[in-house]
Amino acid sequence: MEWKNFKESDKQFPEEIVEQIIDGFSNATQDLAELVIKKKGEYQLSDRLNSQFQFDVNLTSGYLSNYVFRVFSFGYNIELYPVNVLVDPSIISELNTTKYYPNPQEIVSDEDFKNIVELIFASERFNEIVSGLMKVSKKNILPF
Amino acid sequence: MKCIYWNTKQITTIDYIIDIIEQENPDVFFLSEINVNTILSNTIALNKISFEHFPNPGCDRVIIIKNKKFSINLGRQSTYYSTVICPEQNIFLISVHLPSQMFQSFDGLKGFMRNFRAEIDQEIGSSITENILIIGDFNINPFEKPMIDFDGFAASNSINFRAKITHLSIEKTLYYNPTWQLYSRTYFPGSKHFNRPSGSAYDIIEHHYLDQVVLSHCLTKNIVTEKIDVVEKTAKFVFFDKLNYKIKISDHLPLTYDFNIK
Repeated sequence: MEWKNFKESDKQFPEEIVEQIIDGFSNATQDLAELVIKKKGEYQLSDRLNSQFQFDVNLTSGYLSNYVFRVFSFGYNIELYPVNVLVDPSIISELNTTKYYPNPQEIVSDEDFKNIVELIFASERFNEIVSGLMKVSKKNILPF
Repeated sequence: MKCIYWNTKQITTIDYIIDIIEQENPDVFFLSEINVNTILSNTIALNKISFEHFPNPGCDRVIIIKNKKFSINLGRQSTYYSTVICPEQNIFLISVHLPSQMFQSFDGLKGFMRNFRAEIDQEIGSSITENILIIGDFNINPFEKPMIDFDGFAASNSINFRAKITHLSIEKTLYYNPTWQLYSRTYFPGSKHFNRPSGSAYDIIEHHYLDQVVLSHCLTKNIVTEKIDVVEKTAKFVFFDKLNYKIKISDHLPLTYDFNIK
């Protein structure tokens, strides 16, 4: 057989898109809160994302070592797209949709994925949680 | 160490909470269905009894107040549960207010419970190696399939339970549910009363222990003494009318769990 020349995909990894969007978040919170992308372990049949490569996007704080709030999860297979996205229910209820929770929603393109991620971070609920976390983190720095 | 959980059904005064604290003297008090402003506007009253609000951004369904001398750190938060860590006792305390039976099918609740349990295993740790106590409104009875099944929460009624079981090569660690002890309260075996709107006329259960405590295997083996109870009355208030067998003030009774570890 004569093989044609294969071309590497020019699609951007979903986690790279998230990385670009969350860049600058810590500065915007005076370093009181952070957004971290955590690669999840081995794929299991019970996983709701039903994807080979899975990630959580967590809100954390350098001043509260055990604090974690999972903002959303996403996963994809070897084709990169579609991406399955599962969002925290309190954020989803604000976005007036029944998609993204309790079942993941399939996002077919990198542009659509970018849009939903920006919508999540622009939500009032996300803003409310970050504000609360900043206040608690600040209290943890103060020497009393 | 003593924990209390109470689904208040939107009480607007803190007087009931103060009275429970004065009688029961808990270390941590978890509250659901209460506006946080009811707590924040009564900081002075709480301060007088050495209690304070412990903010847990990310979980609005559980509000935490605690004894000022009792040390806890903020852990994982989600819409349906709030985790705190007791550094001196090395215990994870998780307080839950899980989705209601009113809006979900039982199969749906079991699916939720399976995922919740998997999340605890993955993100907090194994029942065998970690001291984990979960208290709150599970919206399921201790004997129902989402609580007891291998692919549900897998919480046993016995303190002499197996640490783990294997089914078709899949291994699952178990939890212990001390709430079963309260079934000796046969005059009102529940923390909530309601006739379930069921498609089956055979569903005769009307007293429900939706409010429960479950413990990891590790914590169960470290416990020397335990006492689980519901608060029926305090010095000033009656939460359970024994004459008419009715829950008053809220539609749930406060649940207390007191224990000592090695």
